[in-house]
Amino acid sequence: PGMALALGLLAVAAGAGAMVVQDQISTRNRRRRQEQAEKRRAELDAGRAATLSNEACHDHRYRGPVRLPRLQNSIDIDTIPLGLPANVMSNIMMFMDVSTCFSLRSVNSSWNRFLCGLFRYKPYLKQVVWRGDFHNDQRFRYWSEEYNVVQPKRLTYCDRIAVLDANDRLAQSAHLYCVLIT
Amino acid sequence: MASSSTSEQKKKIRLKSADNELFDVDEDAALQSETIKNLLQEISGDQIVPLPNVTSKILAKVIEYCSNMCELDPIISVNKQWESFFKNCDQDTLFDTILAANYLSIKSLLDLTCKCVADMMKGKTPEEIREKFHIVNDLTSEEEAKIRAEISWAFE
Repeated sequence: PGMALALGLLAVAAGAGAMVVQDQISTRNRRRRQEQAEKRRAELDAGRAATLSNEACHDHRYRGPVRLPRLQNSIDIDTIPLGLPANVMSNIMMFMDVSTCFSLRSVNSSWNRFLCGLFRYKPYLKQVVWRGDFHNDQRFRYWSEEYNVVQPKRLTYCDRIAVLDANDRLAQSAHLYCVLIT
Repeated sequence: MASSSTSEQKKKIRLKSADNELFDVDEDAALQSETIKNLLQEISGDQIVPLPNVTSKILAKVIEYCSNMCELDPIISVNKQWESFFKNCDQDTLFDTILAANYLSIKSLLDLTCKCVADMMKGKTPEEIREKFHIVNDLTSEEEAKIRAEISWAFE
């Protein structure tokens, strides 16, 4: 009976030990899952901030030029317009709306090549689509009126921007993207 | 006493232009340039910082701009003064300043000068831009018509 008792105690101790280890593992896993969830949530929040919210649309009007990373020879051009490096030229173009940039294509062949390269440069596309900068003083208005979302004369400019919901803006951004890449 | 200690604290940095002219600049003003900041880390403090891509005429203007940005307040009014200066100066000076700002990595000056060029282009037809910047049109009439047809939506 002593031996049986000892074996029983040993089994209980082993079971308790296993339970402690299991508990530690599950605690560690839970903590890891929590950390991953927090990380995902932070990424989602950051993503949400980068998409077009109503507040962000209001802010568009007060933003400066869009920011591009350095081109790093992404635009293949031998002759540079105005004798300026492509990086500087792209910086100048950032102060202009898309339609003006497009109209400058017909200045000469090097401008045409440079601007075509710029329009196909993904960060530029991303930036102008994000900013919704179709015509300089008509950001979003062009689309809002075209889509008959609002009656332009009765609402203020801010109202017109605000009235577009995220889906509208997304659809219109997609439209601009298609116009630019074709 | 306070003013003398302030002037003592202001460290000067010596810059050398492409035409070998020397400029003594306040450290605060000079450090607005990322390029100068990086060069100062590579060379010892008392050495002259060579700037072989910037002429003395342009460097003097850049230093004046950087000093103004350090000293005057508010910055917006300073920027407006400089904007009107660049809009009224000749094109060579403007483009040389852009190149200098790009080389020296002075973001605010680069943005300001680029904005001036963009303003010069805004609302102008391609013909007017060619005339303003003395650009030769090397497009054939067919090519030009094709481009115009492609960008017709921009003029709607």
